[in-house]
Amino acid sequence: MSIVLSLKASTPSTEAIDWNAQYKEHIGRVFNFFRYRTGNDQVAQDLTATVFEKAWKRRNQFRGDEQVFVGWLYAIARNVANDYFRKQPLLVAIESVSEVAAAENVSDTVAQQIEFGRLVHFIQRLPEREREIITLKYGADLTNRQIAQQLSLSESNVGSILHRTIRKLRAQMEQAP
Amino acid sequence: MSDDNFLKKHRKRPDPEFVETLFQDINQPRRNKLTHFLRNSPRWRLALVGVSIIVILFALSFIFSPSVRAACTKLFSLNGIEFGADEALGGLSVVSDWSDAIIKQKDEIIVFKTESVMPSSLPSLIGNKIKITSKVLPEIKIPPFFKRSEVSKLKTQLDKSFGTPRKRSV
Repeated sequence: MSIVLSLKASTPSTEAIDWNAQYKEHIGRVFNFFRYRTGNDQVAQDLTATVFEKAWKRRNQFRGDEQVFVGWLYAIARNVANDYFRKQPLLVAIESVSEVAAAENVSDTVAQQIEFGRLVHFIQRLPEREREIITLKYGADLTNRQIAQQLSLSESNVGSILHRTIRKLRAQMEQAP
Repeated sequence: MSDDNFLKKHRKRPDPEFVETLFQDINQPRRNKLTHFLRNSPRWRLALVGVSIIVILFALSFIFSPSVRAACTKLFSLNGIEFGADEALGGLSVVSDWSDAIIKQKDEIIVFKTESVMPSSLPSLIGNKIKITSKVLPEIKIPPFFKRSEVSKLKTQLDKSFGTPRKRSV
């Protein structure tokens, strides 16, 4: 990750990015990245706020275009997630999924919430690299190329890890709870 | 149902109120403009660090300068007057506040008195910083009421601190 990002960052683009547009573009994606990691909307909001506060504080130091911005923003998001789980290693327990679901947004059905809770439960128990790829792909909606840059992997490697992990998760989800 | 729909379908929009509040928070002007300025101005930050280092060095050199050290380090006490080494002057300093124990300082002669003297009787000496330099030192005349052992002690201390003065009349 750092090699790709630093190489890009060392060649600043003269093209200034529209920070307000970037905010609108990425607020939901960062929020979902954390939702898929934590399974909790409130925590996801807090962590999202932390990411944007950090990014906006350093915006005067940022040099680069939109592509560099994406790598930079999600590097901050990953660090924030790592800090959070280092301090609070509690994961969603499969037994508490229905309780969590009932306490969550009432606009979602309880069944959906339970299903999402189970998904987060399985995501949280994936190996770190697979977990990051899944949450960057389906939470943050990044492309395989962006994920590859973020994690210093080849695009094809990301594709094959994704394929394998999706299959594993689907098998777990299809099992009776 | 596509392959990964079970993963995609759980994405949701964040609460619009949260989005709006956070947007306002991160875009509001900084409260502490100085901190913000220094954080975002590496050159000024560097200059501030440089100035701080200079100030610290100046303070350290002041604290550890020979004259200050002499004032802080009492070598010995004689009849109520405390002496310290003064390497810068190459002599002794009077480091005690008992300047009223010195009743006369004229040219190269300093006369001590063992008894306390009222400050009103020594208007010219009170508050003065009195230093006995090596130039003055040989001409020091110690009054006869100083005990012989104390004179001997003073000589020993002087020799130890500054070597034997060329001409010293005690």
